[in-house]
Amino acid sequence: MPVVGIPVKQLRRLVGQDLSNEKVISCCQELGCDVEELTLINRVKCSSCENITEYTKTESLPKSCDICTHEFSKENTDYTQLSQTEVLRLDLLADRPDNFDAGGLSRSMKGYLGIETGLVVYDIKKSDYQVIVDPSMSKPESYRPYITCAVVKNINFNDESLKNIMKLQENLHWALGRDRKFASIGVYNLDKIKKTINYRSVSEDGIKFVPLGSVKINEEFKKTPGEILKEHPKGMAYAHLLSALKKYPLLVDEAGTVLSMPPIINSEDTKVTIDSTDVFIDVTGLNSEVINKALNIMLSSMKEWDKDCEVYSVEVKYPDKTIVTPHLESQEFTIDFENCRKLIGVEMTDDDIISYLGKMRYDAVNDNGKCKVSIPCYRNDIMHEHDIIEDVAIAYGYKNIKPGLIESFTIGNILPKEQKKQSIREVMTGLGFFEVINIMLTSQDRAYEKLGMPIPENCAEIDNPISIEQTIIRTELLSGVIETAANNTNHELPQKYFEVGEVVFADPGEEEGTREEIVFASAVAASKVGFADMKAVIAALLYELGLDFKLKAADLPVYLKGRGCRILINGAAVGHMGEVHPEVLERYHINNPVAAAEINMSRTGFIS
Amino acid sequence: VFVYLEEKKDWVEMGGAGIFRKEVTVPMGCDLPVLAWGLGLERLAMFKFNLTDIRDIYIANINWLREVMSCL
Repeated sequence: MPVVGIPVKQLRRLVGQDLSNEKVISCCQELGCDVEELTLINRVKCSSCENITEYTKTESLPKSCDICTHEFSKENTDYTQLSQTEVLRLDLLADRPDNFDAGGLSRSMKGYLGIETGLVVYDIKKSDYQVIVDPSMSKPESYRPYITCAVVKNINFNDESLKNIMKLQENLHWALGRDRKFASIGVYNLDKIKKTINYRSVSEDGIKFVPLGSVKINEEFKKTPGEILKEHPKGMAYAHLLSALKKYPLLVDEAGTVLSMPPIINSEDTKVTIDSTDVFIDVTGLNSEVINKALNIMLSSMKEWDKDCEVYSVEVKYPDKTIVTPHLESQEFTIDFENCRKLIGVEMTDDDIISYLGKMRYDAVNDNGKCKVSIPCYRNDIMHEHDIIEDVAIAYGYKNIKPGLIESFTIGNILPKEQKKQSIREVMTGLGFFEVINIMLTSQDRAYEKLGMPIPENCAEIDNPISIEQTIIRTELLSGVIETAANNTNHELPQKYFEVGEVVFADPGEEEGTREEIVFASAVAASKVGFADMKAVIAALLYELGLDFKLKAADLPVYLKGRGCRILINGAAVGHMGEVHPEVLERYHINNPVAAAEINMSRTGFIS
Repeated sequence: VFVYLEEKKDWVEMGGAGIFRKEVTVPMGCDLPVLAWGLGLERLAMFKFNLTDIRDIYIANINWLREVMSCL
């Protein structure tokens, strides 16, 4: 989860109150934000591209600028140290991207504190800008079909507000865009762009432009798309998003000025600086709902930060239809007052509920006994009634909800099979054994090859293992207890281990394709230990569990020849035991004898 | 869910709790509200046993098990 640092001074300005640090933190926590801390961070300004890089008190000065990669070796020549800023560091929650920056967060805070409640209405004027979408954008060879745009004018940029927009962009890429795949946002200086913009595709050497981060706009710094994907840091980082395409998306105006190559990089030509007052914003991607939500959040948060800026719509002309974007209207939803009271479990009148919804920045009216709610355009998390009721509870205040007993009780208990496992644990602990609990995931090497046992056909394999040590679910416990002994060869002997737990077999007859069985295994590592020692333990255990058993000599690869056997209960072979073969011990780097045993308890009738 | 520890003079996160989302319970055939909570014991175990490395709880070290008191 990324952490964002939101400047506290801006929060106070936008909320309009001189809130204490404690009040800022508690307000955000009560709203449901994940507050890390309120602290000072350091900032440096790159002398090359003027970008501000931030770093915390515990970090050291970054080696280079995160936009243009200019090296920060000498102060005042390569960078200037700016004053420290007080920030509220939040762990970003993916379901509330509207709270990712000071603009959106202050809007939530104002509602909660009662300073400004109800739905915010954002005006949109009409611009004469248009985007023409080439038919190739929906073809497989250059597939990135959806685009949504807006123009914003009369912005008063400073270092802080510009940085705020850039951070919001990147965090929306994370939260909504799945790292730019489904949505990627571009912001450009409107002064450099003509009124008609083309969203089309280009071959890897079909155009040359200076990618953002190059410090001079010069012939020699112009690169083709192919070169950018291979050489530019952002190109290399995101080339995988275009790997299936033969031609790449391009945003370019009618005069040939390149805006960007979505989702990779903007052009230096249309870069937004502190002096810009008007911008063009685009969001491209693979899902039209996601890109529109991203645009809504960008625009509404920008409007919160800077009340004087104005949003203008753009005509997006697809081959088959024209859409005017953005759409910042609210969405209508109906909830039930009684469901609200029941789910939260607190007394509140219909009017109370309506006022709580206002605090959470909805508009709500009582329409013939039903609660009609208007949901803001920047909310991405409202799926059904419960989500709105949750906001009512937050406005009521979780801390105000008094705990109470439920009206009727049921009695819980551990499952019978767990009781049986506990009996086994009691006996073995009583016999002086230590219990181990191993992870159920293992690998063919750890579970079978090291033991010298054949790999069974019916073990469940993992499709996308996270590590080579965890590629299958275990079908036995013996390797686990022997591995534990192997991990403790530097500690005193004797060591006596046991484990009781689940194993999994692939079984096409079962609904989920697998079945679980409960297995017991034990290992004794000592300077002198033999078959008789293990037999004594197993005999004691099975006696206490009330199970009659027989032993039958067997040649099993994991045990020394002549020192291994199968354990039979009710005529069925349910387990085995013996002295572990020296070759096996060598594979585990164990330098003393080990006696071991394993019994499948599910097959003994003890556990059904 | 957070718990305040006197020794650390700070709030420590223990886990999460709440009402299950309908998308999870309805496909399983349950349309009633389901309460759930999952609290992590590792951090409390670390304070109780004076551990500085959380991996000590997970790594199989028989000597630690032998030495630690079971009735604290």
